[in-house]
Amino acid sequence: MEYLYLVPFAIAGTLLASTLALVPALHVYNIAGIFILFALRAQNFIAPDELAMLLLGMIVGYAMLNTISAIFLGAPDDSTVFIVLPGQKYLMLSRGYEAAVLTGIGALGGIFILIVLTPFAATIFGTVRGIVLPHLHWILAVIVVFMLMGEWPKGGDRGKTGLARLWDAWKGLGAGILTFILSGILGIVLMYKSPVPLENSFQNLLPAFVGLFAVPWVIDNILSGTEIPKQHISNTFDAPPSLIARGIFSGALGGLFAAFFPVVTGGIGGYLAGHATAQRDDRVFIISQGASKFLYYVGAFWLFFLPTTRITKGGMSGMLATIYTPQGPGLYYVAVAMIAVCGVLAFFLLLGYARFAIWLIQKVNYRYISFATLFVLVALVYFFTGLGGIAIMLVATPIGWLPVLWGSRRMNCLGVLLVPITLNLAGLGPTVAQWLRII
Amino acid sequence: MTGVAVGTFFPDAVQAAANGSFILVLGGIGGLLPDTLDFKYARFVEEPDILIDPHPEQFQAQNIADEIAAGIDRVGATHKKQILKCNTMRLGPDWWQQYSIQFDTKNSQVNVKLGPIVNTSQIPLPESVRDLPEGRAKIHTPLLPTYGEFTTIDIFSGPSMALEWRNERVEIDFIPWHRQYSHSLFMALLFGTLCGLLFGLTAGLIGFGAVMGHVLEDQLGYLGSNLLWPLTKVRSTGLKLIHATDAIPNFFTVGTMVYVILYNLDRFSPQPVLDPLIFWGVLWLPFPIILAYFFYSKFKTDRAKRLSLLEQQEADLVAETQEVVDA
Repeated sequence: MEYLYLVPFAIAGTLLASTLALVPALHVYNIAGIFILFALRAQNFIAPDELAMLLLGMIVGYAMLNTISAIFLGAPDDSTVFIVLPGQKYLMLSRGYEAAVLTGIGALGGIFILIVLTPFAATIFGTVRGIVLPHLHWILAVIVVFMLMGEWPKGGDRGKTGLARLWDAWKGLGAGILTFILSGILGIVLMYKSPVPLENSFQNLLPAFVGLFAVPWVIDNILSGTEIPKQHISNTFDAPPSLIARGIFSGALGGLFAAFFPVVTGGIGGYLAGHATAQRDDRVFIISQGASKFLYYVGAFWLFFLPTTRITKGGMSGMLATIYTPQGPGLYYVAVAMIAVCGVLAFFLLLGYARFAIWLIQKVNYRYISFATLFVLVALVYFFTGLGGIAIMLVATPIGWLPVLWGSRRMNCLGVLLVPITLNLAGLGPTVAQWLRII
Repeated sequence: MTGVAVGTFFPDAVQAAANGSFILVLGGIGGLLPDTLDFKYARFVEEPDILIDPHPEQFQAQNIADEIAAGIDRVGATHKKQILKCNTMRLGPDWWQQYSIQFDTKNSQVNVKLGPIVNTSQIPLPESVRDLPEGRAKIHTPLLPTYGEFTTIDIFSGPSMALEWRNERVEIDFIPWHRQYSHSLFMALLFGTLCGLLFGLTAGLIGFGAVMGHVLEDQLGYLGSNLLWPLTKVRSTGLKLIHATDAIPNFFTVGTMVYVILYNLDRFSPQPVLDPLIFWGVLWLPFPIILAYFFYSKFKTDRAKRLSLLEQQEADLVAETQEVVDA
């Protein structure tokens, strides 16, 4: 009972984040950063445990509801980028609501997995962390190799000679590799010489992500004049229990890997786990992405509360760790309970917000919505990171557009994180930065 | 994953990796190399003898069926191998005209039919199926039993097939460029030697082992590979234990390899913490149990289906290629 006073804070966090999640590109970390700065200045206003629960509620709400802007507005971030394609496919088949519900079911499955793992998490994650800690650099490099070598050509049928067909096939692959290299260089620049003002440095990656992932998609929607068919709000969904279980299992593997492992995002985790379990069904994929991104965000914050083996992974734990350390196993179990309560609440909010999004896209021309989305993206980048951020976004957008133009994987844009972090873990970051004349 | 797991069996490689080396990445590269060579190189340099390149507005299913049947009869008459390649029909940035072909060995005929317009996610555009007649052409040469379902040709690259005279009949060999030299002992030796020359003996052994790991895993399926290329010319039969798209064996393999990697990283660290009895005897136990359940279900299903080996091999190839298209 001693922790009961924390419940309203967690629920308030969920309600707040669920509304913020509807604004494209507005990441929960942007707002959390402001909250933490505020809490530092007004320590009498909110106690550390209360702040932690507020942020926990926020991340649960965000992880469940950020699907809405990805599916209905076509404005993804690094962790929802994999949902956009199948999500928009469902949208074009009048089944956008169903896609949103499937991601929500995946997220509920993610909560179940967290609860099951709760008693053993400290032992499992503590042991694995101890083993892999000296090996992170090459494991990340293997993920990069898998991403780049695992992209297959999407052309090459036409051409009179083998060389001509090979060239046709390799144009897209080359664009993918170029995207990875350019976004990697951008990542190194941001790490060593970011134009974002120092006081906003915790928002350093926001303009890059907006430019790499959201802006190209929104501009594509504007240029292609996408017309959304009338949406059907169904009372049932087409997914038997075995299929749901497969999706949740696969997503849980990926999400937990991403929650635990540096730099790996929910999208990459879900992608790797999908390959590991040979999942091909769209419904399994959407459910797995729902579970994966939920566990990526929430799981990473959950690990922060682990007694004896505190693991700081992810933006939220990273920011909170600067001012707060959770004490004792009691708070850990409270955190798990709050994840469950807030997760169920967020699921019902998801159903409501999905209906609202459908109402919106049917009332307003999708091109106008895309223009408004673009305006919001630019305004947010300016608000949080100033002109320096706008400059980063302008550089990132053409890089993010390469995959759109050439039909290569958008995941290659994650070079912005993978390249600088892998190099740094191997101790090569400063050397490469010197080669590039950044430092 | 298997390639990386192979690399972790070398203590000096694990210790070098813990000190900042990227040597174990060679295992990952070697593991992916065979399929990379096939799907990014071999398929494009193959020269087709019979090219089906239909126009969406002038689609004549009968003409296509006639052309393919004539090609099969030509192989029967000349006993010379022919490569049949079916191109896709692109209508726009995201739209494709689907069509399908079927080798009906029971009735000795080739069937061709037009499908709907689909987007790149292979979702049909509603009411896009045109009411055109199917094409049916009789084959006058005996066929070996093959994949009997319709093969769909829609997005990106279309499939190719080798029409080959074998055992007094024509064999239709799907995706003939796959699992040839790239999946051989020769390729493992070549990659291993290259790694060895560039990075030393251990790197060479990792490179060799990684490619061989991939090749040996492929032998578990219905279609093996041309293991002894260039001494042999045909792909061998695999152990027929699993199909390329079976979820549980894939999960078992990846899961077990993760366990192997973790165990080896710990084993060769300065202070190992894992107890092998608990690690393998308890924590790993769910994997073989799930795999045993898979084989039990498969045994029951296979008894009911009774498909010929050749049909299952070709179906596996179609499924594997589709998986790459989906990826």
